[in-house]
Amino acid sequence: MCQGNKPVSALVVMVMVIGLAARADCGRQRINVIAKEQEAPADWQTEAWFGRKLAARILGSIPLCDCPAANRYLNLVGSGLALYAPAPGAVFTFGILDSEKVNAYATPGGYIFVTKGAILRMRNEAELAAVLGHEIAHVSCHHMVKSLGLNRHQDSAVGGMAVLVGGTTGSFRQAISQGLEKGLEILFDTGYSRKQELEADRIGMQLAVTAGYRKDGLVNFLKRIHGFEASAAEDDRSHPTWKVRLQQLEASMDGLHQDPGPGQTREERFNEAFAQLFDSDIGDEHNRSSR
Amino acid sequence: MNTRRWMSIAVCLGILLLSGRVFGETIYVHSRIAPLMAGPDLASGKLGELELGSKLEADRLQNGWYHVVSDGKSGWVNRLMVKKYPPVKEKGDQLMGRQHLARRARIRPSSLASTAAARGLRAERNRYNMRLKADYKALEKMESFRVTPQDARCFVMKGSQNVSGQ
Repeated sequence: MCQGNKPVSALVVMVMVIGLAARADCGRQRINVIAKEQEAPADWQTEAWFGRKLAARILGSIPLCDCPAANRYLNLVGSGLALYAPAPGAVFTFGILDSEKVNAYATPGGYIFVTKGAILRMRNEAELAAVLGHEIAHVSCHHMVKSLGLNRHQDSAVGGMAVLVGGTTGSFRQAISQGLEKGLEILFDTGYSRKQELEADRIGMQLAVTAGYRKDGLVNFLKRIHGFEASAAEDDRSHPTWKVRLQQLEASMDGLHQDPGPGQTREERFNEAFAQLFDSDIGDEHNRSSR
Repeated sequence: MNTRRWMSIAVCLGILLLSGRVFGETIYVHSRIAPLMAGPDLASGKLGELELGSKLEADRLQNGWYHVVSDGKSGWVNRLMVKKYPPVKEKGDQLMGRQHLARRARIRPSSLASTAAARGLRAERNRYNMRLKADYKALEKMESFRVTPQDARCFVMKGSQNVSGQ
């Protein structure tokens, strides 16, 4: 028994060690969970405070579209998707920017913008939902905060962003100002990391599909604006290459089992809600060329 | 025979210990609504809807879906919509928390310098602040278009709500 079972005993010990290590890892994860639980309330509140300041600066640069019905509809579509987003502390607010460029932006806490130029190139609500889902995912995953490096917590309960929010001195204000500047730089120039963009694509698609939309909304929209590459290239800096993005999206689509059904593009109410935009001069021009 | 028996015991123990990551996990819904599906995909029939904060016991994870039991009903919930810790309770106006945060932050004001420096937030340039002025009037107008979760839910469920009214 002793001689013959040495390898077996060794195997048993090895398996036990691996198992216990896995258990220990679970224990560490639980500790992290407790830490996150304690910090979570401050995260959403401070993100919203910071995100509101960023949103006001975006609107200082690009005006809000003067189209109440369209803005209201945008909020219904976006808030419908946000019901399924893992962002319990976010209050989502959506707005159409009066710009011919094709883009969308999200700031921490839930302020989301879509340009009129982007909407004019969409064909139905499923495509709009896909774009909004992508931006909601940026908010839900705290991509801005992570990109700014403000999600890391110090040895106290006060997180990096909370420190920025809490100050009143000139140094504090300067730090906030610099944080906002970095945030705007991410939104308008450098963009999120490729990994974050692809994650937002994947989660956004899941949100849209869960809300009942066709899963190919984002792929169809991207393919269409890719056709306008000459004009869209300048707005493309914040995203991975088209090819990579489309490949990843199509791979994600394959993994999403969805029964095709009627009404999943919801084209009729999309056209009705945005009639004012489509009837404008710019709209006619884009309708002729892209719709 | 002894060897085989020991090997079987070892394999069983290993499986039991390693699978502890999923078996018996308590998870919480972090979205306002999480559909409870009959199978681990969106093509399955919807059994019901779980609400924010619902506590669930997950016994397995398959293709990004947790198999859970809720109020005696078993089904599948998307991994995206749950976390392993309970969600934060909302406190009405989320911005009300700022004063509280400010008090907490001032406990360690000296940490700002190191925080800002570590985050690369030094005053290297100021072009966005110079270029972009905040427009809070427009922001308030945008906030006036917010809809309640109930309205959003109706919009999703019915799919035919009148969208032209404000």
